[in-house]
Amino acid sequence: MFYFKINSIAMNQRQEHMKTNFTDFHIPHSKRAYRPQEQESGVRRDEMRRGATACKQYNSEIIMNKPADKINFCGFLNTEKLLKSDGLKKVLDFANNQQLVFDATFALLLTCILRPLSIISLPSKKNKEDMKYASAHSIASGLIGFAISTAIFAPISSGIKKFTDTAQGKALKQAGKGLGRVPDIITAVPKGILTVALIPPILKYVFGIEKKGKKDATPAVPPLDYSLLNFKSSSLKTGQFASFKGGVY
Amino acid sequence: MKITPLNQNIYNKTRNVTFGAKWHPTNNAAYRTIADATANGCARLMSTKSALKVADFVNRHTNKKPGLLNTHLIVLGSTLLSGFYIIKTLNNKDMDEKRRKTLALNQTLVYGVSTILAYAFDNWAMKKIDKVADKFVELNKDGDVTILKKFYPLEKEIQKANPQELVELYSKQIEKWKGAFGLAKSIMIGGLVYRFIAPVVVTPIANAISNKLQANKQAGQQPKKA
Repeated sequence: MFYFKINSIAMNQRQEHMKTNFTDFHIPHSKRAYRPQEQESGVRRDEMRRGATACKQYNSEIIMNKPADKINFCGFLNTEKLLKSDGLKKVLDFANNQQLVFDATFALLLTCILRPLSIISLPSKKNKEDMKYASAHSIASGLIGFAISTAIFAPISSGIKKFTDTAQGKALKQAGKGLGRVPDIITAVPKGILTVALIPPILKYVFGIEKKGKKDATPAVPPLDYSLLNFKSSSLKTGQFASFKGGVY
Repeated sequence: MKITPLNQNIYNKTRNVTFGAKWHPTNNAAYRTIADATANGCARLMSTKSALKVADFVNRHTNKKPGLLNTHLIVLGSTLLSGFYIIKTLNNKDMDEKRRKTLALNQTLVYGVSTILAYAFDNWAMKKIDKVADKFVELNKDGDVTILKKFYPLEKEIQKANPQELVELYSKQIEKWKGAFGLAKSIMIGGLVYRFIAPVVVTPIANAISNKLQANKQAGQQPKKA
């Protein structure tokens, strides 16, 4: 179960007061009253109970209406910790140095995880086979796009980064930063054609899924009357079969 | 009798083997060749007059909102790809004319809505990302500068830097990391819109709209035929 660990200012100040106020040492911690320091203007403590506005005249500034500034959900999402982490810096480096591969990596996460989950979970009129095919199609397109982008664009992105770090590259300013996406624009159409062309064989040979054509209303072969073959049908006694003498048709 | 010293390694020739060295792309000769060729090609290309004119045009128009440049480029790429698919659909002789037009209309609607969404999300995210980037700089400006040596083991400038130089390099790196926030935001929003929102959310809506438009067109044509 999740719980909120809220570090409110009032709680911190109470703890600080408990640590430093040595006059109450004969009283247990849990039973010591929290007495904020009053200013010389002499605002009474009972006025504090009327609302947050009275509290502002005290040095302690007990803020009751504002939500807590620091929240972490069991330590799972601590924004300060995330912003200081080495992992985030490595991701930012990756985005800066290899724009196109970063784009392909993010697309891989979307097409391999998020999109198949949404295809399966959203209510749809399609049957399960079609949904399975659509999910596999999405995964295949993500994998092929990632493989092509990484193989082709990784060294090219490194080269462009190398150029933009030189004096000539820095002189281009914003245009230099946009240079990293130019290979993707130039190869957008060929890459799309290649991806679309490679999806059916990947689906067939890697995932073992093949899109079946539409089923016809009438079957190609008419259903056999097995009673006729077993010579048990009543029609054998009438018509041409009555004079049949031998052989199997 | 031939006596060989123990340290004369004539029987076990040492090979060029490194233990514990991690593979890095820059260790690969083909990778380095392509990267160097690309850098040289960019240097030659960007020294031409027409390229400098284009760069000047881009700088003038992205001065006020530099974060939108990446979104413009993503939209340009998708425009080329979508345009190609629409033209291919319209010229596809395997489909009848009605089906071709319906599919082309569907693709156009998906492209149009995706482009609008990409710009809308990017604009919305810009201010929030700027706040996050400022918070990142505030939290990390007094951080440990020696992480640069850990992150960039192959950069000679960083490895040989003394503590004072390392502090300067760290402050420059913080600015680069701050700039990467906007870049990552544009790439992620573009990817989310074109690869997730468009196929999952926009396509069914575009299908319904194009089918309705075709039905209305047929209903409008029928009295004329009678």
